[in-house]
Order: sequence, then structure tokens, then C-alpha cells
Amino acid sequence: MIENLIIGFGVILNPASLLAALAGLVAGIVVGAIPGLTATMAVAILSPFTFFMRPEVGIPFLLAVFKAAIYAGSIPAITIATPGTAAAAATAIDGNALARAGQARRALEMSLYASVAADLMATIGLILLATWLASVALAFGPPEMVMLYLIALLTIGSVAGRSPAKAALSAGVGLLIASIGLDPMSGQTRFTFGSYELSGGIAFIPLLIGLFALAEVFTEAAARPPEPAAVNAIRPGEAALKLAEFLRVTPTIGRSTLIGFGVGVLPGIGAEIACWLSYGLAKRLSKEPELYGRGSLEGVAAAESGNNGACPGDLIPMMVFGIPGDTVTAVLLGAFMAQGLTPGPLLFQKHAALVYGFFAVLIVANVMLLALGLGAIRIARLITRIPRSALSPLVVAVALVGAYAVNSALLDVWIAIAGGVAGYVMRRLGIPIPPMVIAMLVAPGLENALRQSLLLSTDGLAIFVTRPVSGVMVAIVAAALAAMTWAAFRRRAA
Amino acid sequence: MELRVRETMIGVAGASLGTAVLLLVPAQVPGATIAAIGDMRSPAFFPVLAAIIVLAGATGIVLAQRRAEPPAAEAMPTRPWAAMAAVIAGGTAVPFLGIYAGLLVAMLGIGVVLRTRPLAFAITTAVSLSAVHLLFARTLRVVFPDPTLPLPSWWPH
Amino acid sequence: MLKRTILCGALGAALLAGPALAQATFPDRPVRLVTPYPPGGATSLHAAIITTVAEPFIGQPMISILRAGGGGVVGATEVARAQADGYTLLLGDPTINSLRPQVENLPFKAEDFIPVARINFAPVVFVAAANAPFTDLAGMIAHARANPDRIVYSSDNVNGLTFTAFEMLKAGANIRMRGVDFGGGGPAMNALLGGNTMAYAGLPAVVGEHIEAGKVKPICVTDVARLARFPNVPTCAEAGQPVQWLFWLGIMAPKGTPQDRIEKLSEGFAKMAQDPGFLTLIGRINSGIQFLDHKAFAEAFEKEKAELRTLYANLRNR
Repeated sequence: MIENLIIGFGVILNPASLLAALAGLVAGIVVGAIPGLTATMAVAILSPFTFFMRPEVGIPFLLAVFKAAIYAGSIPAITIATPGTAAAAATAIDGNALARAGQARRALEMSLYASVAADLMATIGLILLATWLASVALAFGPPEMVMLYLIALLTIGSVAGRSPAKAALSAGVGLLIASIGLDPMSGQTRFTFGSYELSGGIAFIPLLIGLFALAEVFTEAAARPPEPAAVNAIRPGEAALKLAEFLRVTPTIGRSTLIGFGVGVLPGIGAEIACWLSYGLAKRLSKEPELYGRGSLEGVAAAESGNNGACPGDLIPMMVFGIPGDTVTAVLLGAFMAQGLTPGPLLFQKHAALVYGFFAVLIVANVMLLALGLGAIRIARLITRIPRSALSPLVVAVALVGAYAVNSALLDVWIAIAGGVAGYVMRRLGIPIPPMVIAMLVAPGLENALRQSLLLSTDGLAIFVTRPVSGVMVAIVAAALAAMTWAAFRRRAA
Repeated sequence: MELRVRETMIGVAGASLGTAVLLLVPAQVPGATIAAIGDMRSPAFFPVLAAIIVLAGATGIVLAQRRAEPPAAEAMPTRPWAAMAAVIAGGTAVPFLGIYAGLLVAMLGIGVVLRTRPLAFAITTAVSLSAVHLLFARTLRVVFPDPTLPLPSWWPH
Repeated sequence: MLKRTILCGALGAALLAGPALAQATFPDRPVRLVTPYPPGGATSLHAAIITTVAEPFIGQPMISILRAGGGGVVGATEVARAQADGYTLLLGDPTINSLRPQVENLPFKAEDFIPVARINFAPVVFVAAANAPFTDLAGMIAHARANPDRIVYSSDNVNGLTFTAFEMLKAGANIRMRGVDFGGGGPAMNALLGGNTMAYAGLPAVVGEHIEAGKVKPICVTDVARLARFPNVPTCAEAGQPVQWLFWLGIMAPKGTPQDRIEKLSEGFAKMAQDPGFLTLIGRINSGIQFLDHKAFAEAFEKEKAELRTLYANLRNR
């Protein structure tokens, strides 16, 4: 394998490939930093351009776009409380809190270092374990996926804030929103009120844009008096992240990368859910859990390692089986095939040099991302000096257009506006938003997996305990629930 | 509004939502009733479960108010509603006047509410609209809806 | 007075000329091809290749859009209701375009689409998991008879490709097996490869590579002749059950799309279907091309509607 990797490096260490990777990273950062532009959209639009390039130029370009976009979503999340990609939603909580406390630079740098570190570790995992992990991932059938989604739902407990009742309300509303549309298995309409537009369901990204970007602008309007100067500006001379601070969160980064990578390998589940799982676990294990939600560098590190760790994992089912787990990898599959590489069981045998070349370029791109990210942070500083009164109209314009651009549907613009109103009202009323987001992310997959499990099973719900992996996960969920209830009791008694 | 009253109203609103969903299930999910909570394979299972969770949350909120002391609550400012109206106006304008006009309406409204300085506003608007055109319309080839009102041919859309 | 009239006339002409000038050449911007199923199945694989190769033949880039949901209904409805200007197309198949609208209550009808070009017309291959306790059709049927309702197979959606294939098999052999709906070929294959289900029926594009790699066992092919790629796999008729199920993938446009645009697209696809680069890529996914242009496709589509209705009635009456 080391020989293969060396050959791989040889394949891509040429000016064209490296330039392509660089260009991809830049494009990815731009895309990721603009709320409403998703990595999927960018890869889909850019992939036809790669068809006429050589494989060692075109594919690294697309891979770089993907990685950089997932990182760059954290930039607007931290500076203007608006995740640039769905996977940065967890970063927005603590990241923006830090920015408001005048520590935007440290938050941005932690996000960059955590992302790069996680990506590097996950890429090494990809190189060493791709085939093995792919077969392990296959053992995750519907019952195991149900358990995983339930564990993801448990993280709501971590982001619930002070009122579990309000968190339940928020989560319940999220589940309701997710049910609107067509029932995934029977195709029957649910709560569409006869409208065919609603039969596609409530699109997640436009709603997220509204809940974060527009609600933030509305909240800004409530501030009295409106700040003429920038609130979140990185003041010159603001402290950079210290090495000691970074080292302190290394265990969190390690754990979160592991979670993100593992979750990314599973088809159908990706960076958007991985970030919450990492964040939730990090809070449980943290020595300073009360900081989470109020500006915890550890929280930012956990969320960013989780989502960037998922990227290399995401590539595994596509490359090893030719079965993409989500839309981004489906587009990448097309790009691979256009280059004459058919992902699947025979890819590694027929095109080993190129495949290891791609692995090599993933590593090189990581290093480049570090440098580019620092440059992006500089630009972010400049942007935060713009007074919010001038920046907010721009945010509104980009948010509305971004919401439209996802599916070219006007309905999505209205979903974003409704999300903005809802987000503002929820913030004022103290109803937490993350439970709703998590519920919306998890519900469709959970429902599908649950129904499939019951169809698979010959003895009803018992399937969840008779299958070994699922049984173990049931035990974990039960233990976690017990621990959470116990902790709640102790707090009540205290 | 006093905190206790406000919280109770949240609870009531939540309870109404939950109940409304439960009542709407037979109409909106063909062939299912609230009893679907017992059958996990039914399309109505998730919505019913979600509605029950909403009701539980709402009840919890109302009950929590029994114990809390009412601290002073701030009055809700009115300017955010103006901001929302601006965005809604912009959204409504898009199908009639095209995307750029619609965005301009929304941005104008926000600018007024946030008291943006005129020069800064002019720059922001110019940057936003050019960015939208170059990035979304040109590079990403997103197709915006054609305005339905008869407009002169030079009207950007 | 004259000046004003001329001015008004000029203004009026300018207003009228505007939309006419916009007519120009079709297409003048990218065309979207919608796949209504989750990624990884035959439809998304073919869409990936078609959108890769189409630009020189259509004149504009073609973008692949994946809109899964409701067993294909969400994506198909979106195209059915899209503007009929030839810029939004569906990569459809007989189940979502013909069978299901006729027998189910969907938000669109079969007549809401105009056939543009049929890309291929292929049989499905029944396959079994590597650890399944049977290796051929006779074995599978025997196992099913001995354990009614115990064999679980990966299905796609109610009245979908795989669903119908298995219904035909079960009706003909009078056996009972349980299907689990996974939404599409991609997730269905995942379940099969993971040993969570025992059998599946899919197009060669989806199962071919896994058969070659030895990860799944081929059972039989639902056609009258064996597949060139897999000469050792018997037809289902040879193996004992005369199941014949040929499944096309074709480009469909929403009803109301102007006829000249349909013709232009059809010609473009016809040229594409002969391009050696395209054929190579198609070969790589173990698929083939059985092209029909819009006229021939429309005729075949009409004929098939009645056949599918009969098939459905027969399967329901067993």
C-alpha cells in the first residue's frame, strides 16, 4: 500500500493537478461561505467542466471543492450567525457566541485547524481502511440505522438549553415539518393540503437559511439603538488562537473526527448529522459543559471536526461499491465515469495508481486548505468591519436568492421567509432552534429505516434486539436515556 | 407582557398546534386515523407521534409556569416586524416585477429599518445585485422566474 | 400627432419584438434532466452518463438533478408541472410513467408526458446474496415453498421495477416472499450486499459489476435471450419460470412542450446514441442502447400502456 501511495503522489505532484486542487479549494471556499450555495450545487455545476480534463486534473478539482465547501460554511456561521452550509449549523451556535464576545478570530482559527486536522485524520483512515470500512458499513442494515438516528435525536438533550419542555416542543415541530409531503414508502400525501408544491416537502436548506440568516437580520432590527459600527468586527490586535488552547481540545477533535468519519461512511447520512453527533457527545464528555451554547471553543472544534471528518468517509461507499450515499457523491460518480473510471469493486484493481493519486491529492489539498483558510479568515475580518446596517441588506439578498437557487422554486423563498419569522419568534420566546433542526434532519431517514426494519422483521420490534449490532446500540441508547434522566433528577433535587 | 402570561401563551399555541395536527390527520393522510400511533407502518405514525411530542412540550411549558416567579419581561419591539414586512414585500414583488426588483424592494425596506447610511446602502445594493447576477444567473445559470407584469424590455429580470 | 403615433408604434413594436427575439435558438441555456430516484440506481447511473456526453449533441450542457421521494412521484410530478419549454426533462421508465399513473392516484397522468427518446430497453436480472441458501431459480423457488414468507428481498417501490418483477415471479411459481421497499436500486443493492436481504432484481447496470466481482449470485434474466455479457446466466424461461420483463429508460418532456423542440431533442439524442464515447461509457456500466426516436417511442409507449394494465390486473387477481 505504501508503494501505491508513493506512486499516487507521483501521479498528482504535477503543476496541472496541484493548480486544479488549488482552484477547487478557492471555488469551494467561495461556495461554502455563501449561505444558500451548497457543495452539492457547486460540484454539480462544475463537474461538466472536468469531463474534458485529464482525470488527475479534473477529479482533484472536484474533491477539493467538496472539502473546502464543508469547511468554509463555518465562516459565515461564526461571523454572521448564518451557516454557509447545512453542516455548519452546529458551529453557528458557539462560533457566533464567541464572535459576539469579541473572539471571532479565535473561533475562526479553531474552526480551520479543527477542520484541517479532522480531514487529514479521516483521509488517512480512508486510505488505510476504505475497503474494510465499506463492508462494515454494509452490515449496518435498517435496524442499526434506526438506532443511529435515535442516538442522533438524543443529542437534542445536549442542545436543549434550560427548558426541556421547550426543546420537546421545538423537536416536535421539527418532526411535523419533516412529515409534510409524500410518505416515503407508500407515496401518499401527508399534510399537503392539496397543494402539489408541498408534495415535495419543506426543503431543508431554504428553511435553514431563513432560521439563521433572516432571523438574524430581524433580531438585528430589534437591537436598540442600531449599532452604527460593526458588532462582530475583529478588532485589530485581537488575540489569535494559542497553541495551548488548540492542544487542549485535541482529544475532542479526535473523538469528533472518529464519529464524523464513521457516520460519513454510512450511506444516506452525512456531514449535516455528523456535526450534531460530535457536538452532542463532546458536550457530554466535556469538563466545561456549561460553556457550550455560550461560546465554547471546544464546541466549535467538535462541530467542525465532525463535519469535515465525514467528507472522506462519504467517498467510501461510492468508490468501493459504486453506490453513492448521497447526491454529492452521485455527481462525483458521474465525473468518475466520464473519466473512464467506473467506481465499484473493480476500481481499485483496474486503476490503482489513479485512485491512490486521488488519495494523495486529498492530503495535499488539506495542507493547501490550511494556508487558504488563513487567507479567508483575513478577508472575513475585513467583512466584519462593515457595519451590520450595511451588511444586512446584502445578507437578505443573498439569502433570498440562495433559497430560490436550491430548487429554482419560488416556494422555497417563502419557506425561507417563514423560517426567518419563526426563527425570530423562537429566539424571542426562548424556544431553542437546534432541536428543531436536528429533528428535521433525522426524521426522514429514521422513518424510512423504521418502516424497512419492520418489513424485514418476522417478529415485530424484536428485530432491534435480536440483531447483535442493533442490540448493542439499543443498550447504548437505553443507558444514555437513563443517564440523562438521572442527571435531570439530580439537578432538580439540588 | 408578563413572562408568565407569555409562556402560558406559548404553551397554549403549542397545544393548539398539536391538537390541530391530530384532528387533521384523517383528512390529510388518506386512510389513516389517530389510532395510527399503534401501527408503526402507517404513514400517519410519525405525524401523530410528533403531534403528541408537541403537546407534551406545550403541557410542560404551561406546568413550568406554575412554579416560576415572574421576572420583568421586556416589551417586544416593533421594528423587526417592519423588517419582516419588507422582506415579505420583496418576496411578493418577485413574481410580478422580477427577481432584481423584488430584491431591491426587500433591501430598501431593510435599509430603512436598520437606518443604513445612504452611501453604504448604495454600495451594498450595487454589490448585492451584481453578485446575484454574476454568480447566480451567469455562473450557476440559475433561471429566475419571468416577471408577469408587462414591463419594458430593458427591465432586468 | 403623427410623431406620437410613430412613437407609440415604435414602443409597441419594441414591446412585441422583445419576446420574439428571445425565441432565438433552442436550447440557449442548460437543460435539466431529472432522476426521480435516490442515487445509485440504474436511472441515476444512466443520467450521469447522458448528462456527461450530451452537450455536443444537444448544444447546451445537460445537468443531472436527483429528486428522490415518494417512490419517484416527487421528481416526476415536478417535471410534469414544470414549464413545458423543453428545458426540464425526466428520465422516466414504464413504472413511473405508465403503470403507476394508470393504477394509482398520482398527482399526474400518463398523458402528462411526451416521449422524446428511448435510451434503452433491458431485462432485469434476478440475483441472490452471496450467503443465500440457493444458487439458482429452482433452488430459490424450493426454498420459498419450504419457508413461505421467510425469504426477504430488496424491493424498490410499490409497483416499481423490482416490485413488478418479483410479483410476476411469485405469481408464476405460486410462492410467497416478502419485499422491503428501499426506494431505488442504490439502497436496495446496499441492503443485498450487506446480507440484510436475500434477493433482488435489477437492471444489469446496477447488478452487473457486482456479479462480475462475485459479490452476488445471478439467478436468471427476464428476457427471451441470454445477456451477451453474462452468457452463463440462464433466462428465467430456461430456468423454469417464463418471466419476461423488459424495462426501458427514456427521456420524457412535460405535455405542451413545442413539437419542434421535441424533435430537436430527439435528433440530438439519436446522434448521441451513436457516439462511440457514449457507447463506451454505457458498456462500462454493463448496459446497452436500444434507441427509439420520439415517434417510434410514442407508439411503443401507447401500446405498452394497455399491456401494463393487463399485467397489473393479472397480478392482482392471483
